[in-house]
Amino acid sequence: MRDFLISGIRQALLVVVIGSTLGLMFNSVRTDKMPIIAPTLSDMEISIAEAEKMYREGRAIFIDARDSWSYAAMGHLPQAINIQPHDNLEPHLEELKKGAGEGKRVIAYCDGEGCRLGTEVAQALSSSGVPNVCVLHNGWTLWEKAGLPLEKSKEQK
Amino acid sequence: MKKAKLLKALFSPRGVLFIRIFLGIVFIYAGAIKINDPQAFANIIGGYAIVPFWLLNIVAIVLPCVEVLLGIILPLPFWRRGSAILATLLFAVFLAAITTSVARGIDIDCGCFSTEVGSNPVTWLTICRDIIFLILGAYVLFREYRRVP
Repeated sequence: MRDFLISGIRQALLVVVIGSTLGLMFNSVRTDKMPIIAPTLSDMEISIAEAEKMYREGRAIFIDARDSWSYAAMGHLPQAINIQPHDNLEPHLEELKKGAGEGKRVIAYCDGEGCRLGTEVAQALSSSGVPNVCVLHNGWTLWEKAGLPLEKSKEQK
Repeated sequence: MKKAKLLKALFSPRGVLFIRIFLGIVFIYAGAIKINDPQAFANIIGGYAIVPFWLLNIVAIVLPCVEVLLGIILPLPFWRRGSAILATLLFAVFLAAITTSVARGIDIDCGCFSTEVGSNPVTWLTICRDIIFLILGAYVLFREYRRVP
């Protein structure tokens, strides 16, 4: 039994090591290669002042991670795209990658100190290969309190 | 009579080889689809909310290749112990991940045989299918253990 397990685990580890090496090699030659380690949350957070500066300079693409009712009825940050966690990102990726490639920052937000929807969407976008993604924590409330421009629309995602 | 013949065939060395080939095809098919779109696969893994975020990409990059390699090795006459152990372990991990997501009521895609959003939702049927895979893997492992003199 012991010999069986030891040799079996050794062989299984070899399969994992060889498979992992092949995976990493394959990723390194892909045209759409992914970063091996996804950026952490602390790397992604920005302040309201930074977000405002990006907006004034026309370098912000806002992602509203709240539910579609809040987005449409309560309003949203200027030209924000409504994307919630677990939504299909595919229809938005090309546009976001293009914008980020032009030096814009993709800023995800939701509402409330404890809200993690913005973070989840930012992480999903980042791991989907969208560069320059960041999170404005409690973004809706901060933006509204700062008296910055808002948009209202009946448009649903 | 037919049932007895079927059972006899299943318990024969040829039956075990057949199961190994079947499981090999399952792993190759599942891995090849994910290799094609690692970013979509990373998103699906993220939906399970059990892998730390910083690990998502690396898991999405290496797991499909490990699956394909394992699928190739499973029916071959070498590393038989290792492939049987790894196949059983992977099926157990997949089953645990799927079961916990169903139990927590998380509405996500399985990511088992597709990376398209909405094409492969996790249901109780998915769990039943994975239980069958796990039983087959465990059977191959058991037969491999019994094969050792």
